[in-house]
Amino acid sequence: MRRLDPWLLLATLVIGVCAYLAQTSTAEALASPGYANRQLVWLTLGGALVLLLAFADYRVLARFSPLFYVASLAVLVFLLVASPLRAGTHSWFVIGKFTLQPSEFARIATILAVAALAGEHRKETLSRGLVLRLVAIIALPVILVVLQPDLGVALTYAPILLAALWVGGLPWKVWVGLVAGALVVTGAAWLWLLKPYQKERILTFVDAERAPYGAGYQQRQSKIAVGSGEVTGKGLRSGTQSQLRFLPAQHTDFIFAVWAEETGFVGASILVLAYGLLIARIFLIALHARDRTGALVAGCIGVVLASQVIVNVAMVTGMAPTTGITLPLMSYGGSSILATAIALGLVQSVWRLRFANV
Amino acid sequence: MLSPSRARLLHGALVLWAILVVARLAQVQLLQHDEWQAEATEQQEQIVEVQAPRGDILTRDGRVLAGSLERMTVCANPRRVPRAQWAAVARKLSPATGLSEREINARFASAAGFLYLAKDLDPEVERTVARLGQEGVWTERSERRLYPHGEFAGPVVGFVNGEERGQAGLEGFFESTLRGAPSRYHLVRDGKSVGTPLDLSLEREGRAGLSLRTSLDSRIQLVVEEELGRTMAEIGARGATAVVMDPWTGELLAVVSLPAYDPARPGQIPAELRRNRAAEDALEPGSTFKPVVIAAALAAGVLTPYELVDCSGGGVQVAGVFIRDHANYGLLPVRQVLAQSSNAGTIRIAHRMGPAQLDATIRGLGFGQTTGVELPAEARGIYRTTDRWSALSRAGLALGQEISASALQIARAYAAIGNGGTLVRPRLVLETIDGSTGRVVTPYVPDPGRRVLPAEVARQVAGMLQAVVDEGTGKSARVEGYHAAGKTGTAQKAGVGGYGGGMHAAWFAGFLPREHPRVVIVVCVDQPEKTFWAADVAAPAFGRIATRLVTLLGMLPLEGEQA
Repeated sequence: MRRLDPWLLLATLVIGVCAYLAQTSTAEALASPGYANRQLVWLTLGGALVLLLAFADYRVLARFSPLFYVASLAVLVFLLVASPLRAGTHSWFVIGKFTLQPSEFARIATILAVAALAGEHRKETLSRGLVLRLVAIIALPVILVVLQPDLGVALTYAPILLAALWVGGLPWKVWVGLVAGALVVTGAAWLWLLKPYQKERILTFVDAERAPYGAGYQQRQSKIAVGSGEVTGKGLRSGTQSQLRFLPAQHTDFIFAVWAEETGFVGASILVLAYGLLIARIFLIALHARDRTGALVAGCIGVVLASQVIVNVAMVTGMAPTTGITLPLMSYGGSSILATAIALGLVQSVWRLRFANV
Repeated sequence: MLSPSRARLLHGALVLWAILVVARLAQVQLLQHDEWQAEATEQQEQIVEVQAPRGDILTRDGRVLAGSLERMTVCANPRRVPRAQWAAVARKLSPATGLSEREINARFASAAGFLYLAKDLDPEVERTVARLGQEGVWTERSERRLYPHGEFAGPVVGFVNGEERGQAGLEGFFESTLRGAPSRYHLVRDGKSVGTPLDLSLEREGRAGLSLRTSLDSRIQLVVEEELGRTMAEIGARGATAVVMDPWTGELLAVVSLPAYDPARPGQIPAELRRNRAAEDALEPGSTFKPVVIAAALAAGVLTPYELVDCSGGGVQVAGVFIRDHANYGLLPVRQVLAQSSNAGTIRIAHRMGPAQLDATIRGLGFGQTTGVELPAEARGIYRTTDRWSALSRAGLALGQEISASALQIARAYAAIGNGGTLVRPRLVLETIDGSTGRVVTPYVPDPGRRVLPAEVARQVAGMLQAVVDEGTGKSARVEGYHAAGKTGTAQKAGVGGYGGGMHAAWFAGFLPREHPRVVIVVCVDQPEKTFWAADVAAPAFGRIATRLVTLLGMLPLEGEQA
């Protein structure tokens, strides 16, 4: 245990406790105590998975990554063909009372595959051929997830590529070129390509106030919840926005609003700092990894988690449009929690083995 | 390998992010807190008021002058009714609401949101709507004010407006008593099922509207309405009023104001005629004021009841103005001054007093002050303070000029003469009752009144007033077998440019039996047409009313006395 990163463990524990407390609140609001109990089971199982993976060797897992990757793709294809439609998508396996979301685990397999492939590259900068292969590795599962269709989860794959290019060493001038190109394409499309109604759709997405009863309604309710929390909040299980069910998707996408309403500025800030610590430690571990594969595993995981946290918190506090991105560990959902736990365990493994000479 | 510079960039971005988010939280949670809390409260909480039924207005013998009927309003919000259901809803609501299916569909189609589909329906409709069980269609309790007796006592009862708020008469004066207070409920709403009360807590207990038991006697009211109506029909007049009052308690047994109106349809007569003349109109009392002047002189000790008063000259010169009398009466005993209504005699009596002496009795008998009757817009009448009197003022007051009074003010002054010198407050309401239990809420409190004339003076003036009826100008007010006492008054009404427009007010005020009066009756006809002399207009009306009340109230004839 002493060889694990205590700060990363602490941050994980703090977030886990907050997650359970917030879920007891939504469980009461939604009159289904099962939510809180199951979240506790997932968090406990997740803790075990963190330790299990922490004492595994990420290099061995990376060596087997093609196997995991191909298996994941097979499962995603199978889902599309064989699983029944559930909530409008083919995202879930139903096993008895439980549902499993394979796309969450496929993301870990993809990260491992990317890390293994790019880790073999021994130069300071990435070659064009390697970049194309990385793009292909990420594109395959993304296409399968988009077909389900689950755009929210598909979007969480994109940061893997950016992280791989960043950690792997894509030259600065290419980065500048990429950003400039993206701006030019977007601007040109806006000016000449898009029709007015398409622009309106995009504007509505960006500025929810344009549709006060649609996406705007959710965001307004979320801001009311956060804003009425004040300094120390209304108390656990006493948030009126969540208890009176004005807050939509309160146990999943908007769980942070529940937390902010009930624990106020103090509680919300503690949670934000815990996520900050978590991700900062992951980047530090990436820096100190003993090999390129370790750096890539930690770096990709850090960027994926960071992007989810940033997008979700921005949505809840009304700084970004409403998307279906959940908050890792806080939002309800066994697959997401277990996949995140596996990821955090892999990062601990990278830390534990940073001096190893095996 | 992740280079340290690239790692630093990542860490820097992360720190920046944390600062940004915490700052945003501070902005939303701390700076904007009040604003968001207000929005939360607005959508989560609601105050609902439930109105209790309005109280009734009853006569003293229990007849309902004003009551309320429970009714239903059917409300709808078509935006919450699926379009596919409209036809079915219209078909089922059509018979109960009296609207055609087409009409219901059309109103649904043209409504932007909430609408009253049909008002004032039988309460049965509540069950029809409940059976329908359609979201977006519901009923609300309402009520309709009923005036079962129509014009009868209408100007006293008053009326309510479209929001059931009292506008005139007792309905207006006792608005808050009759209306009661609505119960306030604090409602917590749920985000999923807007409109369904999740948590209902009573914030303030309401109060049911109280019923009024008035002093009006339906039989006496009917007699007075009939007889005054007959005068109006026979003589013709702009309006007329009459009151019957118990001289000992001030209870008003009848208050009539013509033209009357049906409180259910107050719009049927012009707004300026829609008033209770007994309380709201102040006219010059004319000669009905002479007994007040005589009483003042007797009380001041400047006149004895049996002396002879100089009524000669066919008039009297006052401050360079010659005021005419009806005739040259020579010397008359005081009772004959009143009986013949001599202007010269009364003026000379008035001039025996200083202004303060005359003023004391006039104010004591309540002139220039409202009576305090429970009616809105009561007239105070014109009566100047002595510092604003001219050299002609005492003479003018002796003739009932330079003063105006309502029928109620005259009635209470005559009541004081009849009851031995006590001024009582005219009153219309005996007690308030909780209509649902019949329990008396505000019990009857007798008004002791206050002494304003020596008993001896009151008795002497009452005797003189009997002479008016027995042998003077009030002969047509006589009641066979009973001693009635009273005084006529024919007042010229001042129009634009002073008196002389040919407009008059004809008064008769009096009481009976003289020895121990049961009723004070005041009749005032405003601008009579065929003839204007009070002796021909008001006195006969008094006589007819008094004759019928004698039987109605079972007054005993005076044995051994000559009528």
